[in-house]
Amino acid sequence: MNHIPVHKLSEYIDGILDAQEKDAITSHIKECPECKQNLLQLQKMIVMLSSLKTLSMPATFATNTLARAKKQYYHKRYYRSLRGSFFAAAIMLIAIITMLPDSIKHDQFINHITQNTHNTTRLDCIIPTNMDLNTAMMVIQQHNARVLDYSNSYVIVESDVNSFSSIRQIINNYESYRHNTISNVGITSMSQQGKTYPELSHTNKKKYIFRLQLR
Amino acid sequence: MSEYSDNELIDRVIAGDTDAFADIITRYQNKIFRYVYTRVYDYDEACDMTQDIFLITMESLKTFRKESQFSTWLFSIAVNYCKNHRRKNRHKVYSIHSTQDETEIQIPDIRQNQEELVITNESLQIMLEEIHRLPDDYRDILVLRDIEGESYSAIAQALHLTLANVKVRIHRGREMLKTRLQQRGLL
Repeated sequence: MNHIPVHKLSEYIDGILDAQEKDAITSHIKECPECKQNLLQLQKMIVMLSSLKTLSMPATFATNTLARAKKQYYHKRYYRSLRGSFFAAAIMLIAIITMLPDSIKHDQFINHITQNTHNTTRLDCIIPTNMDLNTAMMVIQQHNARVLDYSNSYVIVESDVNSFSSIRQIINNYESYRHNTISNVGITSMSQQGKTYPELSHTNKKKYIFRLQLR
Repeated sequence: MSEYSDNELIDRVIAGDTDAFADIITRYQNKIFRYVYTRVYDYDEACDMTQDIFLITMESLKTFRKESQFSTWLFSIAVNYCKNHRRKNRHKVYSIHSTQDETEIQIPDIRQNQEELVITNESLQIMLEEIHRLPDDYRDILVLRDIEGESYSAIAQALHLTLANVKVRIHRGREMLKTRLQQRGLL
């Protein structure tokens, strides 16, 4: 007599066999003590397993978990609202800056440059010149000076002491402005605005920021 | 326990009544705990993990599409969570003879007389040890089928298996557990 394979016994217990197979196994078990023993052992094991269903958690678990879930939920909502406010503020700021008149932005730019450049806190002098923009740029480039800002009417330049002297010399020699001394013009020009500026000296500064006032 | 259906409770939670989630927890906490406990065999850790699973569930509630039963969906969250937890703690060794477990775990004093079947606390402890020692694939499926009484199709959905696979694993898992329990003198 062929014994019933264990997987069939397993399916027999779960009741998923068709009627024909189920009847065949029922009648086989009546006559075969070995298969009957197998089936009983399997059934006993499943009953024992199902008894583990009574394993349970502390009664306070739901309350504690809900409290933690709420805390987490409100924390997230709070930080989400903070994040929203931050983005709104950032967008407002960008919008305001974008809508500012160009002149204000330009002043802010100059202030930023003159206030944050190393060892230079303001314009050292204004140098009027009869040069046009292209000529001024060429002179500046030849002396390894740095252009911070420019327009058709001015160029703001940062340079070391030697470049500053050379540029000033070239401008001094420039045909239409030959009779003026640069330092006098610069200081006179700044003083007219009611501000005091330090005397230009090659020893007290490493960098100069000056404005070439073009024709 | 609440008389609301799972889906009604879920709708209430999503609508902002977070207290309704307490009913969901109460309804499923032991089921999830048993599944987690047989995996980690550490009472405190199983409690913490069960709590985490419910927190994740609450956060993901809006993504539940009600195409399957809530319990099946919840189980699949628990299964994934436990897999990730195993991956993160692969070097951790759980003691299966923890005295703390024996004192804290609430094993009821079951003495059933069913065709000469007597289940003692000691035999339950051995059962737990042997289930814990089973390979993941067999353990998960036996917990769902023989402890929780889930249907074959619900198991297939929760574990993302075909029905044929579920059948094979149930059969092999039972056979392996039966052999081990025989060796321990329980059958």
